[in-house]
Amino acid sequence: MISLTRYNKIHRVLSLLLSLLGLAAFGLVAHDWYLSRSLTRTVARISAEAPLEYGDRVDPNALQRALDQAGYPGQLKSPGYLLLYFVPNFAHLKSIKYGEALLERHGGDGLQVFAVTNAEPGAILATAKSESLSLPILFDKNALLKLLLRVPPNHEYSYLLATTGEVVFSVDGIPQEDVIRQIVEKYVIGTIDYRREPEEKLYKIGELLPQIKVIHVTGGPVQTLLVRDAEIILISARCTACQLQKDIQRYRELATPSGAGRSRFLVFGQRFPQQELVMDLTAARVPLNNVYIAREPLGGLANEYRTKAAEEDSVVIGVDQDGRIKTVKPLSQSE
Amino acid sequence: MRLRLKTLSILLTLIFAPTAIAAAWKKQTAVPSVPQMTLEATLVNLGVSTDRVRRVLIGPNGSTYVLDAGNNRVVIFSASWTFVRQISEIGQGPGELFDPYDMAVDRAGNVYVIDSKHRVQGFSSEGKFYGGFRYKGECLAIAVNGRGEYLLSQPESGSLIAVYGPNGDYRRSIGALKTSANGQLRNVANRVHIFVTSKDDIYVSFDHLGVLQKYNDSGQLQWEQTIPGQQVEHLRDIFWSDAIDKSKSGIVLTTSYSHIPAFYVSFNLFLDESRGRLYVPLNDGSIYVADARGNAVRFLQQPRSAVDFYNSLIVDNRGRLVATSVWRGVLLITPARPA
Repeated sequence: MISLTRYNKIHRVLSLLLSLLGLAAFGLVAHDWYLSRSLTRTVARISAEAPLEYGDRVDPNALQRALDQAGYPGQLKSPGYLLLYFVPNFAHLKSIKYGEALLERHGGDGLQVFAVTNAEPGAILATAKSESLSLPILFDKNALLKLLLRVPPNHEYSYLLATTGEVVFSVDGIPQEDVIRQIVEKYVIGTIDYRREPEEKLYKIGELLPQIKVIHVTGGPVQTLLVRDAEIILISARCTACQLQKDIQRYRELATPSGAGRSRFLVFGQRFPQQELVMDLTAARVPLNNVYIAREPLGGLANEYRTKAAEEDSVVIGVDQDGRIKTVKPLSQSE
Repeated sequence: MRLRLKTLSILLTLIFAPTAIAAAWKKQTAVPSVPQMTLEATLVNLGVSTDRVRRVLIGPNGSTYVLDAGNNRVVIFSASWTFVRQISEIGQGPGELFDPYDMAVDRAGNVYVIDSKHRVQGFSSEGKFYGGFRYKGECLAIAVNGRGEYLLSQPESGSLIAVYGPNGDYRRSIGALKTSANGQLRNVANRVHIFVTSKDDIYVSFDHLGVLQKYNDSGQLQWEQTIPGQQVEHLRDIFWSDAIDKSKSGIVLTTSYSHIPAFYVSFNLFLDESRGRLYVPLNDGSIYVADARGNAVRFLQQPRSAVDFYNSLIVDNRGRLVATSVWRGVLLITPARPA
């Protein structure tokens, strides 16, 4: 049995402790509220500011921290350049696939290319896998990178940054392939190549058409396409979106079975994203049975066969029974 | 008797006057019968790869300036089409070009370029960057006059053309805006391309209306002409129509201007001052030729098999028609075989 005095003492101590706990809890809630309000204000302030543009700088340490939290695997190298494609979702995957080619071509020159997103990793990774997207993806879950570069909410945005923090190029959206290629060449290697395609990568009549590794446009394993006594329509990927828009009617005409009964294969360059291609072709009522996507560069990294005179990106190559090239015509002039 | 005669004359007047008025009206509005010629275009061997050429202009000594928009540069060629030099390259910094829309060349051979970063930038014929200024709003066409003033197509400013001084100071405006019946698409409908003559007369071509105008050097309207013919009428109808798929109506080049998709009717115009001929490429691939007052002379038609259109042209110092094709680059055009 405890005395009344002792009981009073315990009661007082407990009350005091409870009061202190209440105070602490209140303090925590108030602090949380303050932080949240402060963060909201900061985000609103930063969001209201114009995106960074040519000549602006970011603190390279802040850039490194923001990259780290997004899963960037290493230290920024200097000198070097970072090409960042901010994509809220992967709806326009075909636009960033060109980054793979740039990375492959200039990775050794100090270029690093990333797709940056703050979408849920699960869906993004599934899409990337189904589209064979090899471009590294940074998951900017706290939007630190986005805030640092002041990317507008729900915008596609692209930046080329020196690793020292200097912004050398920024654009709302995903730039056309030729535009970003020229920008990258200018800064990363210091010379812009204005030639559309080196001569040695052009077709030569009489030569054997190389075997091409492909997958069917609807999916499946990688297979080797052997073309004999047939025509192969090669759609290089210079500007995937504009090529599809420009030539889709022509593809349909040539792919229709009424086309004189000839065997025709449609092979799209490896940068064409599979799902979007299927959607576009289906919408244009192109039969999919002989349609493939290359799984390797055709005749060089940037691709591929190009008609010398017309400089077209889409060509129809006639192949004889021995597999030798006998005719090459621009798609627009083929019958 | 007199009353009968009077009645008869009134009756005759009532019967024939409307016919006469209708005939006169028809004569006034009828499409003039202009001779048409087939034109053959051959690719000019530049020795330099160009991509998406947007403008060709004549410089001093018969040189030719080509706005190689796809490669974000201006390329100068000699009168014999040998490469002289490249001016600028891609970039967003001063003296660099990013998606250039149009250019102007002054009499000394200096070149002024507008680009998607809302900049006017000046370069000497040697390629030295002189400086420039930023303009507000949209602008897709530029010209320069003998006073060193810039004429920008800026319908959003409230007039067809805004004139700026060499330092980018706004000076005056030229040309009243046209409005449709319901007042819609005003800015798009009033986008023009501009050509300034050696006497500083100003010729404009409305991109989407097929209308030509001439202003004198003080900005007073001298005349206005509508490009005649069913083709232009058809293209104009398409422009104003709500049809979504306009691709069934000839060659299509649309643009997104002020976030409104638009359908071109005509492109950059050129006045051959020595011969008094005005050339306007049209969206169906033909070229309209008029006299210096805008009266129809002829249409130059492409062969039926050709699928191309020209966005800019000049007549060079040898009297040859040189045009730029959106798809194919610089072309030499030979009008032949009157249709």
